[in-house]
Amino acid sequence: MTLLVCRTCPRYAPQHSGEFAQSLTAALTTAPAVDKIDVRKVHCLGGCPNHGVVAIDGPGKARIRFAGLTAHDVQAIIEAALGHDACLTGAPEDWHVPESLADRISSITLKRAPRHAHSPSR
Amino acid sequence: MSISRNKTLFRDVSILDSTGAEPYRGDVLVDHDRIVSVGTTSPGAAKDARVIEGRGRTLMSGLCDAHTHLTWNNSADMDGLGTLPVEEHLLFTVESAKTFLDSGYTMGVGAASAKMRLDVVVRDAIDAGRIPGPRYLANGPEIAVTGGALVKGITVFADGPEGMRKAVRELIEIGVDQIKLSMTGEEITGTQRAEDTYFSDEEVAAAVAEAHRRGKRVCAHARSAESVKMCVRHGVDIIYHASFTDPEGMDMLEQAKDWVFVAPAVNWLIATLYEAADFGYPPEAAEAAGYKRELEIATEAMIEMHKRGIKVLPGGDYGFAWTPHGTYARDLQHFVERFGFTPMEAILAATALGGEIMQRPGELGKVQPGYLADLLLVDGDPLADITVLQDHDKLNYIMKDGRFHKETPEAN
Repeated sequence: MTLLVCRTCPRYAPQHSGEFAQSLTAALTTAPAVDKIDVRKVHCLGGCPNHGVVAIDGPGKARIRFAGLTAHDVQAIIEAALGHDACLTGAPEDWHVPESLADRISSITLKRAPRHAHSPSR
Repeated sequence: MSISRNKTLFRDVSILDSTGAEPYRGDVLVDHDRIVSVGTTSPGAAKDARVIEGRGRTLMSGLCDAHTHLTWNNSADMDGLGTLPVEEHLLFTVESAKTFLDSGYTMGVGAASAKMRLDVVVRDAIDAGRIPGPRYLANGPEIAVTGGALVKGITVFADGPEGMRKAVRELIEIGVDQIKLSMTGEEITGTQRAEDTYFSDEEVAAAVAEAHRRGKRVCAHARSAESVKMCVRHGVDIIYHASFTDPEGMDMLEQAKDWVFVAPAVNWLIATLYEAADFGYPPEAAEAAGYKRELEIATEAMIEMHKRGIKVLPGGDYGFAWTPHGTYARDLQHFVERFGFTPMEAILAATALGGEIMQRPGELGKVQPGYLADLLLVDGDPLADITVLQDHDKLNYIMKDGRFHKETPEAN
């Protein structure tokens, strides 16, 4: 599964922009089970008013964005990513969202699977 | 041995050449601004070249965003696009041009400028090498008829065929590459409905005729079924959104598929529906306004267009607070997950078709001998995971015109 980390948080404080990604990435490197997660540092996740933003995504699954995080949330983030990966839909009602993150979901982006199957690209 | 500043050899890369062929291992040699060989390179030709060891990383064309607004300023509301003072607005536009290149986008099709000359002067500064940015086709403010503007502060008003001709002439005079017609509404305005069509046939015909007579293209904000048909009838070159294309319009697009481009800007629909709550527009409000319905209908339309071979390109109207600059490659993920493109098809739409919509199909958008050296060296396989293109850290090298915009120090 993919863990998307905002690399510009806090966007509205340019002198501190990027600090969240740096601290979270450092915390992730030593966290257990991080090798099971594909971390992508993306430019922004659009959850800026409550900075410290990550999202959990997977092919065809709901993308769940969390905001107001710090590096101290690293274990809960990993737990969430693994839970999201283990369920079919990614929708929060289908997996256990860690208690410390439950009120920090800032968006749920539903996907739509293509109507017809495509052959693999390669 | 001296190393030439003008020659670069990408050695042992996985070449994703945008011809539709599967990637293959080989070398790519760049001399000055052009690709001179792809696959194998004679030792003599590569003499004195700077060597980048690919170690199997993907070498591909830079990407194209077919619906670019360099001047959209990450505003949290529509009016904010127009209220930023011109001095600050120019700074922002310069920054967003760099952000496009930082994101691997070497081509951008301007889809309207928030102020008269911002697009034009920034395009000129990029072309002169004064600031970093993508190859860019500049636009002016969008033209709307009285009562049909989405945001009055960023609009040129014109009514009737003569009014259209005058507006087009004025924009051509300031140096735009293309003209934007704002033909329909947009639900977030609360007053301008997406399925309302404000232009008359006579107005579209006059605007297109005047632009084409001067060698300029026309693009249009066209969500309604009628507006799409009007665009095809009168030769609008690039149709943005096309959400409510009906069966008759679909047939017309198919008939015109040799020359017309469609860019749905789907990320706008998705993010506005699901991800704008932090900026005061929760999903319930977006759904009530009609965005969920439009997203579903537009998805069906794009799947059908793709099936019929109509040219559908990524390009997402980025530049609002919830669709920020720098996230452009998300469009490719939407094309795969929502429209059923294969990753290869999505990449071809953003590269080879990018060269076409930039009107330089023989030299942009492919990794082929003779093409301009606009290249990305990607640490990953975008055909296996299209989201890798969203991660700027994975874009190890970004080259435009044979010159590196970004170089990632190699780990020992």
